[in-house]
Parts: sequence; C-alpha cells; structure tokens
Amino acid sequence: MAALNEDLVFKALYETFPDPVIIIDAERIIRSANNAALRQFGYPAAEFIDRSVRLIYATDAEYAKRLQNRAARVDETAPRTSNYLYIRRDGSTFSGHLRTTPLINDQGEELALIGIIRDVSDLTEAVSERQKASEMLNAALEAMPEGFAIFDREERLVVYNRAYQAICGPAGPALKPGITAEEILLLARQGGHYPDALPGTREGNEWIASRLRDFRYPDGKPKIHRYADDRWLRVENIKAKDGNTVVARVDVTDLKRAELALERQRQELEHKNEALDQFTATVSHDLKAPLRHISMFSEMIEDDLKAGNQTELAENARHLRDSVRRMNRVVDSLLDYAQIAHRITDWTQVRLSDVVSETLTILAGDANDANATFEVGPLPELEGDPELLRRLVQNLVGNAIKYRHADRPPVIRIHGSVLHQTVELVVEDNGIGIDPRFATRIFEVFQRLHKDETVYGGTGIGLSLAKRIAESHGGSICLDTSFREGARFIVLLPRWLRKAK
Amino acid sequence: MTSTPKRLLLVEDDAHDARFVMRAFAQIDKSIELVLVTDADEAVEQLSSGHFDYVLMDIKLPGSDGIELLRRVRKSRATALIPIIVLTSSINPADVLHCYGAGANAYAAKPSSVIEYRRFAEAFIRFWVESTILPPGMSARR
Repeated sequence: MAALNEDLVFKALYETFPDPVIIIDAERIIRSANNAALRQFGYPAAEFIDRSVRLIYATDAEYAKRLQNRAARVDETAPRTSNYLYIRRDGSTFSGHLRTTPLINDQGEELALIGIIRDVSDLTEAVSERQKASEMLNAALEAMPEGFAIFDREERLVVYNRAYQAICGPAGPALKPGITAEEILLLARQGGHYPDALPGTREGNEWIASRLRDFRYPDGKPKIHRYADDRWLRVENIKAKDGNTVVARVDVTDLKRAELALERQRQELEHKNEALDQFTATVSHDLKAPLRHISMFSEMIEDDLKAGNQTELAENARHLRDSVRRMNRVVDSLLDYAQIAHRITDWTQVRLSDVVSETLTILAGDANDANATFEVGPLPELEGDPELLRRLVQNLVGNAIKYRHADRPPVIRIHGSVLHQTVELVVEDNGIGIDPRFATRIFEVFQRLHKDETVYGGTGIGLSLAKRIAESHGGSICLDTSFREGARFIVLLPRWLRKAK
Repeated sequence: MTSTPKRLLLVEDDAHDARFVMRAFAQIDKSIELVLVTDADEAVEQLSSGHFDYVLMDIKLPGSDGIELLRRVRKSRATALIPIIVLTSSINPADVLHCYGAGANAYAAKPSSVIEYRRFAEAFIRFWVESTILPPGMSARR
C-alpha cells in the first residue's frame, strides 16, 4: 500500500464535505471556500474568494451580531446563539448554524478561522411553525368561553385559561402554576363561591369531598353544579393518558334556566290538567244530580197517580220542577264560566271606583233587603276588561251580602291600593266568614260550603268565576285567612297589562 | 232478621237523595234506624256521641269532603272498624279507588230509579245486616 498523502486526503474531504466550509483570515477576508460553500452561496470561486465575509450576511445587523458573538465567544454548539441569516448571490436568504474552529500556529497565533455553516432553514421554519402553533393554541385557549385547565399527577395546576380563572371566582386571583386542585376548591368555598358548600357546613364538607373524588377518580360523566350568583356549570374532569387531569368547565346557566322553566311549565300544565279533571268531575256530578232527581220524581209521580195520593203527587211535581230549574241554573253558570276567555284582547283603562259604584247600583235591591252598609275607600285605575271586572266585584260583594251574620247587619268594606305596579282590591265583610280549611276549595267550580241551597242560594260558581276573571287579567284572588271578623278577599291585578301575543 | 234495630248513619247533603234512601229503607225493613246528617263535621259528632252499626255516605259533601271524613272515621279508635258504604253519583274508577284507599268497605253508585233504590236497600240489608260474617274485630251485637 502506497504511503498515504494526508494533504490529498484532507483536500478530498474538504471538497466533498456536504456542509459549506469557509476559511477567513484575521482581516475577515474569505481565503477559501469548499464546493459546498460555493454551491450554497451561488458564487463562482473567483467572485467569492478574497471578498469580505460581510458578503454572506443578509444584513448589517446580522453581521454586527456575528461580530459581537465572536467577541463574546458564545457557545456555538447551541443553535439559539449562533444562528445567522445568510444571503446568497441571487439575493435569497437562509438560516444557517455557524460553528467555527480557529487555525493556530506553533506560536499560538490565530492564522485563520474555519467556519462550517449548516443550512438550518428547514429546522428554523419548523421551530417557528411550532412556536406559531403554540401561540395559536394559547390564543384559542384564552379566547374560548369554556374554562380549561390541566393539573399534573400531583394535582398541581399546570396550565389554565382566563375563563377558568373567572370560573374559580374568589380563588381566581390566587391561581398560579403549582396550586393544587384542593386548594382552589377550598379557597373558592371560603369565598362563598359554592351555594351547596357554604363555609362551615357539614353538607359543604361532603360536597367538597365529592367534588375532589370526581377530580381524582373521574367517572367520565360531566356533572352540573350550582355556583354563586345563581349560575350553573358543567364540570368535566378527564384523566389524560400521561397521568395529567384535564378539566373543562362550561357555563350552562341558560340551559339550566330553560330546563327549570320547562319543568315549571310542565308542573303548571299538570296542575291545569288536574284542575280540568276536577272541573269535569264536578260538572258531571252537578248536572247528573238533578237529572237523577227528575227521573226519580217522575217515577214517583207515576206511582202517586196509580195510588191516587194527591198530596204527595203535588209535592213530587214541585220537586220535579225544582230539579229542572236547578239544572237550568247549573247550565247557565257553566256557560257563564266558559264564556270568560283565558286571554282578553280588548283592554281599556278601567276606574275601579266606577266598577264598584256600578256594582252597588246593581246590587242595591239585595243590599236594601239585607240592610247592608258599604264603606268604599280609595280605588285605583288599571288596565282590564270593565265588564269582567264588574262581575268579579259583583260576585264578591254579592257573597258578602249573602253570607251575612244573622245577628248583625252586614257592613262591607271595599278599598284598593297600588304597590309595585300591582293593584290590590280588598272586599271584606262582617258576615259568617269562611273556615280557613276551605281557603282553596272555595275557588273550585260548584264547591259549596253550605248545603242548604234555600238559605244560601246559588250554584257555587261565583268564586270560581271571580278566580277565572282575576287569572284572565294575569292576577290572582285569595281568601285572607288571618281575617276573623268575617270574610276578606284580596284580589291582586297587574296595573298595566302585557300586551297579549 | 235481628231483633234489636240496627243504627245506620246516613251522611248526605242532598235533601232529595237523602229522602230517596230513607224511603227505600223504610219500605224494606223497619228495623233499621236511620240518622241523617248533612256534613262531615256533624257525622263525626254523631259517631262520637252514639253507637252506629254502619255508615252510608256520599263523598261529595259541602265543606270538608267525604274522603276526609273517611280518614277521620278510620283514625278514631271507636269507629276504626265500622262498615262504611259509599253511595255517590261518581262512577269514576279513580274516585272508587280513592274511597277504598281512604277506608271504605263498599261502594255503590246512586240509583236513578225507585226500583233501583229499593234493590240497593235490599242488598244492603242482606249483605250487611243479615250476614253473619262480620268484619274481623267486630263483635256481633245482637
């Protein structure tokens, strides 16, 4: 084997080395460049050699940075500190990682500097892409309305977004990486953030414990919890594969409110259905009773005729007529009741004082017979149907006269007031009063508290009619059970009506 | 037929219906003594002051209703086991169940003819008076 010429070896290595190699002297003039360097920068050797190395730096600033770094002898193994923007002959630029080696003679003088420039533009691009992606993710995290956070294996907070901070309420300002999930829960609780875990309550302790359990051993099902200010949040804890816990909080207050409203409506509807059932049951009872009686009496009349019993015949005939009349009254009452629409379309401004004086004129005859006196106080105005309101008042005043006490002449007081846009109309008497046990039953159709129709006439529709009128105006009626002198009815009506849809 | 008259408390607010019942019983068996009350409070008063063998009642009563009366009667130790027969116009199955649930022993719809009333009274006597089988706990008072 021939003796190896090292110069030839190094020359071959130099020329075939894949990375650009440039050798500069102390004056920073390019003394040599390998093929890769010429290719990379796009110069023929004649136009590259003997030029200042400034030639390959994209800008003065890049060159100045290089000079500074050289003076400071930065660590060139780290791309971060020794990456420069280089420029090719055609003006295009690339990012290169520069590593240098000084050529030193026996006396220790630096003769030249060998620089290897590796094109890292792909890498730089990848890094910057990653940086961009990470920034995008952060921005998205910040922008999203859902609270989001990551806790590590030790239950310490690692990442969180602004929404999560807001959701933590009183614990929000204390959030920082390292705080534990339990610390956050306890801080928020102390600040009264959880209506179901008020500070110092036993139920609260259990609630916090269950929240922690769900954080530590999530069952994969989101939970809905109540937060301060009547807000509802969907809480979801997810154990990630790496042992971290990802938590998501979504404000579902609107949904929950809609759900609660729906439930209220459902109950209302159920209540209405029950009322309707009750209504039909009562109506059929009150219609069937006189029918049955008519059938009975006609049969008895037949028997009386056969037996020639004249006295009983006359009596039974009278009962028959009474039953027919009674049935007539029931049907009339029903029609009355049915005619009141649930929603009134024709609203006008109504002066309750006019309504009351009109009622008193209509009832003047009965009032006279009963020797009744009226004390009418101030009465407000409101929006409504004057005819229906008159019937409401007439039913209440009529009852007050009818159910008078045998020992004293009836004194009936009617007065009203306005509070928070609600009109209150009060009708009270000194009559026989109503057992508080029946405070709600009296408003049901055909419910009568007094069996003897000859003493207290009527079909038992008056108060249910009054209730229906009050409700058709968006109001209510009730018996004041604390009033013991007689009966006191309170009607509440909105002063201004919301326009019907 | 028993020798001592049986006492039956009739709770009925409708005067006509009460008359029909009394008439039917009077035609069938003179040994039944009927006492008429027209509301629940009166019924409770009667039951606490005198002895009755049966209660025949409507469930639709003025004021406190029949279901409540049933419960009140069953709650009281003295009347916890007295046979209560509901006679009412409703044949609504829900009402029927409601009555049994509250402690009624039997349930019948109000008849709409003289003959049916009579049949009802006859059946009542046969089943409740002449029958020797008494509800558990009831002593045969003869």
